[in-house]
Amino acid sequence: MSELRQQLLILYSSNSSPDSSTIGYSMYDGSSDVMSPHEVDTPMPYDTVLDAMRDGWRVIQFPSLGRQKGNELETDYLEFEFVLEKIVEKPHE
Amino acid sequence: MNNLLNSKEMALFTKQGFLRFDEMIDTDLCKEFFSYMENPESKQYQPQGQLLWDVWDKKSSIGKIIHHPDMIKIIHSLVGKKPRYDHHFPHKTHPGKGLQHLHQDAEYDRRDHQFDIQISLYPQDTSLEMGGTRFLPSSHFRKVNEATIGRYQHIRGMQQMVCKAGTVLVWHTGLWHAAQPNISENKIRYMFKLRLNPMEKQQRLFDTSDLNDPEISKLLNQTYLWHGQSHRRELFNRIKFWRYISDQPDYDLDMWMTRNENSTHYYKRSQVT
Ligand SMILES: [Fe+2]
Repeated sequence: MSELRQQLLILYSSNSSPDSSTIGYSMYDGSSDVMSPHEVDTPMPYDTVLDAMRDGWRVIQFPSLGRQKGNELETDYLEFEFVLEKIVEKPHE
Repeated sequence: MNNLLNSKEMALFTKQGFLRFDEMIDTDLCKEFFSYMENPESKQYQPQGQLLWDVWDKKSSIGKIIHHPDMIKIIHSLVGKKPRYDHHFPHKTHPGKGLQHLHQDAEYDRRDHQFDIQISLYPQDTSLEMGGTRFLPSSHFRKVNEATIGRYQHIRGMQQMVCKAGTVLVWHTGLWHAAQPNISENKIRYMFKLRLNPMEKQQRLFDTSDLNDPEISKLLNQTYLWHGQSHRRELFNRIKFWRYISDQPDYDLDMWMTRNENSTHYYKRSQVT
């Protein structure tokens, strides 16, 4: 019987459009015991969210728009965070 | 000899949130410093809130480093002549250990323009595998509070400290950073950290004789890819900070602040860049 596991790919985009350029990413892989990648300056896995979708990643969270009134000029977290998933077979030991 | 950082160096600090001084402490003093780094008693915080210059004996290896002329120059220029000791820590990281989540240090800092600095000294040659500090240039104005940003792994432009012995990284405590895992086979990684508070207004503490150098507005205008849509907001952050630390309340880049402030003055020809 097959066992399914979730992989999460989080892409940070330069604006709210899924075809704007990727400025950062995180990868959390539920199918692997390997430590999450930590090296700096690795190439972005996809240039855009749309490229990732074309490669089989499903978007499960979309960034919402707008900041609280009065905070429009604030800078803090990365604003355009897309969460994508793939469901994969757990590799055999 | 100039005993303060100049305005261009401070503009670089404003833009990127850190300054790096390669091989600033000579190797003999670095070697001597290892006895301090290895001594378990060195991990004890000194009584907090003292004047920095009173914390360590000048003749000890740590004292010699703190009172090194280049260290004094950096400290005077960023936090003034009478900085307060906040805390320190001699980090020692064995192979297989060390991975931290990306974070911003310490408690939520509500100050607008005043800032603490953190000094990191790498007393040995630090390779990529040994896992020196990684940090995100130009993240220092983004107040996010500790590891609330822990899920961010890779952001374009991130850097990691790979350096020769004696290298010093001095950074605004807002800078996003984390220790990298030590994935070397058998090298222990050492890093000495010191946090300081300013005890005076951080205005014109540096050498201002080059304050009108055109290089300054070029530096302050530079973009970072990772800022994306927030690039202009980051320019606002820099302009406000530069106005404060250089004590030039009307300073501007391309009129970003001016047109938003409904100001009624014109710029003199010499001020237009
Ligand atoms: Fe830290």
